[in-house]
Amino acid sequence: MSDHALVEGLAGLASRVDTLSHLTEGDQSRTLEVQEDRLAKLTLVAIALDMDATNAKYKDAVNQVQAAIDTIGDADKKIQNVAQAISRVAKALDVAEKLVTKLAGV
Amino acid sequence: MKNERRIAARVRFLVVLVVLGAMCAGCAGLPTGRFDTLAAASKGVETRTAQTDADVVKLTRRFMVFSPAPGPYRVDSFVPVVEVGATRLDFDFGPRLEPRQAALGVLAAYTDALAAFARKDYGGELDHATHSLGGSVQRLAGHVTASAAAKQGAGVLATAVNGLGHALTERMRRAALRKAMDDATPGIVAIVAFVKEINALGATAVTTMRDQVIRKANGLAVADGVARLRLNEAVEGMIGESNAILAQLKLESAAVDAIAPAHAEIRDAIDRDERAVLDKLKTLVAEVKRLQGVYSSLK
Repeated sequence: MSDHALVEGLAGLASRVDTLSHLTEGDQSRTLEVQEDRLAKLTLVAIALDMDATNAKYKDAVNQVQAAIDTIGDADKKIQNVAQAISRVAKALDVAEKLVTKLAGV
Repeated sequence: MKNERRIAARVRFLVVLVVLGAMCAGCAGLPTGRFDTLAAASKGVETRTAQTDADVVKLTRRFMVFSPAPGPYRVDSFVPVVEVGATRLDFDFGPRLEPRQAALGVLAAYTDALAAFARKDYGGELDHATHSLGGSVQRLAGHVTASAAAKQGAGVLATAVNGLGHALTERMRRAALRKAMDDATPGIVAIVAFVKEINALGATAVTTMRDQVIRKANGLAVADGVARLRLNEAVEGMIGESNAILAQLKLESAAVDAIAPAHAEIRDAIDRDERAVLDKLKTLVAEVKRLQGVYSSLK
């Protein structure tokens, strides 16, 4: 069984991180730009892969991505805790990158 | 007494008329034009989708111009590979999109088979369409990334066509068509869902590449002058092509979505003559024309 929850989540998160990077300045903005770049690349690879949605690691990655999206919330509003958002995104990226790398057979 | 006989004779005459009328209705030629229209529309969607997929592959090349492999140029500097972590991973969309074309090929061959059967073209077109359908089903089954539902759906269509046989009378042909179309309905629904699902994935890929190129272009320090104009041209090309592909994918989904209702309407109207207005079929034709129109205007 495969679904596209991870692809949709990664693309959505990349878009939110992009918005957040424009709302912030300095190191935080640069960190968010790097994260957005990683998310975009991950989205492209995830689209090309066939992923088993019943896999526990897949579900974990989807949950982590969703948690990061929830933390950022509506990026149009003033973000109170950017450091927490960056940390959540980093965690989601780590989990998703490990999953995708493994599924790609590398 | 005479009156009773006269009435009985009239009743018999009426009964004969009704029976003859019913027989004529059964013998009347099957409306074939609508089956041809359905087949042409399905083929139209398949053809346009193949063109869109070629455009996605071209767009990926444009994207790679902005995201080549780091380090000095090599032969594989622009192949669709990105670095995830420290690992280089392939994101070639071709193999991901190809099963959708195979699924649309199944749909087109199925509608071709229906049209050939309606025309009584058992030996030529039906035979050809049946073989083509078998080939498309096999092609779809061979794809690892095609969903199980789509593969099953394709099998359902093949089974429905195999059950058509060679009907001898119009009545038998109508009954066979009704049964085949009823049996095929879940298969069509599964294939349409799969096609739309891959279109949505394709749209996400295109949007992601477009947005990445814009971001990278904004990060480039290019002075005003010829270099700036070249960059403008490259970015404009990427944005224009991305938007064109997104429009195509949207219209393809709308067109493929219109196939199942048109198929159901044709099935329900098997006994109605060629002049009957089939609204769902008209909608399908309009969607396919819109798709063909947008492709021409965007090129």
